[in-house]
Amino acid sequence: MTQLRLLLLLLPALVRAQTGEQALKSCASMLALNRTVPALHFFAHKREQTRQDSLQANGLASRFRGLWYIRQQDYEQAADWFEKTAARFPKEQGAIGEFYLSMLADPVRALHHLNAFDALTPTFDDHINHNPVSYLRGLAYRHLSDHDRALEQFSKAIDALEQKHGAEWVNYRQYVSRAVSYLATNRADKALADLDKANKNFGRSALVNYHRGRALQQLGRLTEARTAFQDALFFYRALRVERSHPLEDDFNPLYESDIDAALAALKPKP
Amino acid sequence: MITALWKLIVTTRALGWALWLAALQGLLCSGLKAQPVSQQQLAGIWIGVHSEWDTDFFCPLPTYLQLDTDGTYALGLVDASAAPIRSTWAVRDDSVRLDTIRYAPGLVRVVDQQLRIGQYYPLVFRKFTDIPLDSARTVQTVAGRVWQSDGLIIALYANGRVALEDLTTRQRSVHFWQLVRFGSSVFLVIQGNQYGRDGGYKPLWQLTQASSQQLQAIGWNGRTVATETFRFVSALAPGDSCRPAVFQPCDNCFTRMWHITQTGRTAVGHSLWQALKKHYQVRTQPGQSGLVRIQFVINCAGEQGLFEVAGFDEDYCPRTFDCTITDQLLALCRQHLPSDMLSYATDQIDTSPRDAAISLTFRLKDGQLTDMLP
Repeated sequence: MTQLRLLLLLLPALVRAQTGEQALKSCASMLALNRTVPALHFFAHKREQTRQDSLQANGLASRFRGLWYIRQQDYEQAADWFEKTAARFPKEQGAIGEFYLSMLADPVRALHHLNAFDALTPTFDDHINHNPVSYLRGLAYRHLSDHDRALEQFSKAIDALEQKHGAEWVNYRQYVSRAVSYLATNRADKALADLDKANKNFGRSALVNYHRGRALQQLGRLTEARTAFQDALFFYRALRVERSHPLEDDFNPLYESDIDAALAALKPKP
Repeated sequence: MITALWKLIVTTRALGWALWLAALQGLLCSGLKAQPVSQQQLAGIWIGVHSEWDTDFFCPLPTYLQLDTDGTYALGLVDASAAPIRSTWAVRDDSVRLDTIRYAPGLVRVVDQQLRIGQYYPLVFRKFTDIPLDSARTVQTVAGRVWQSDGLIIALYANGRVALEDLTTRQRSVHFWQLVRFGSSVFLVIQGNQYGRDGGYKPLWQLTQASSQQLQAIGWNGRTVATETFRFVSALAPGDSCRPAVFQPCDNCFTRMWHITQTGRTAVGHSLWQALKKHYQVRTQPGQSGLVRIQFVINCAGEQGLFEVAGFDEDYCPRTFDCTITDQLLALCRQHLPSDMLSYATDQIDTSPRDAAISLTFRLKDGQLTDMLP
């Protein structure tokens, strides 16, 4: 893994615009890089495709093939491989459903695969990576603006865990997602309750404070809303370096400009 | 997207091990098949041809590798613009050592007078034969003239500029040229772009003969290393234009994939999305649903080119969208992409502006924008 990580960092730098000195260093680095054989051909699509063709067919390799085409933004091939993977390896349908939702913004196909995955074990709320299938279904319904069904699915995911182990075991992002649907259906009090629980589980979240601000604003508690937005801005800036990914949560994207706009909207009009 | 790929790799160790094993198997097989190299085969001077980044993507190598029989080694530039790296080399038990780098058997090969180092991103060198030529007379012969081979036109302007035209693709690009001495030989070194001498090198040409009517030179002709004949076409007048015919990236080793600039889940992408939602005005058109992918390149000077628009229907099959939709999307993307896009693209590694490949995909429902893909 370390080798791959180094390779990812190094390769684009090696073909950067070069002067003589840089060209010589680049060649020396390439001589060193070529002393071993990397496992994956990052940035060499045709070689990587040939290598993937030679791999034994299994669910993970097949799923990876679809992702490879997503990276090339070849959506025809990507969808083709996702469908092939789902048909040949039914246990992969959960991951395929999540990909359709997160990478292709296609909640209809996502729901089709998530439902098929869930039907494999009817009495169990299976997990896909870090989330139960019901939570991902909730996100798909929310994408379709069907907030009632989204809330039903979010609650199925959250309540079971909350009752069994306690609210502190629930991923705070799941509370945020449910709160967003509560806010969309003008149930700010319920949203606020969820966001308070989320805040207990992760007290330095810009995302939680931003949506707390929205909930408080909807309830008419404008001073508290302003404080929440200011806290959101503080955490957004303070934790910028800590984040390894541009967003705190891909399913609930939040940008600094959103918080600025919320604060600006609260300023008294002259 | 890379983050998503990483997540997949990290969470699927089994796949990771399978890939490592497959790669190891490939290495072992190739190692078994490869003929061992001897010190005698490797000794000599090797001139850089290119690094093979993919089966169809090569970057020229302006370097030479000198492997002396006394075990000393030098890696330098043919144009001597940087001090060479000197060390030692050896061959032992089929394994080659260059400086402190020890290669597994089979990773250093000599094939058809070419030295190949590495397997997946191999560096290719050709054996050097010193062919004496008078450099001063050659400069007078070639400067200010246009020369043409079967696949390439080289216009060598007296002011140090050069225009290259690929006769297959009809692409015309502008760079800088100089003749340099290497041993007793003369090389035509072409580097830089339309704006300056940065931007990397083009393939080296070792001139073997120069007369007023034709040149002969050894180099990479796009298919193989060969001795090419360039015929005299015409003399260049001082006022002749030396400009690229179309958009030219600054990097001579440009490929969209290497220069892709992520926009989807970034502040830049979000700002563009907000602008599009504000300014996009198309009436509802039933059936105009699916994905529109817009790609273009912004070079180091901020010029835009290499535009491509592709469409996919709701079943992800290729389709063409109404041009009122695609034309407006393309225009808005060009207009509203933040002006600090270039600095955004460069602040990770260095500060010099570089080419940025932009790729944006939008989901449409009945002609209306619904999402921007990451």
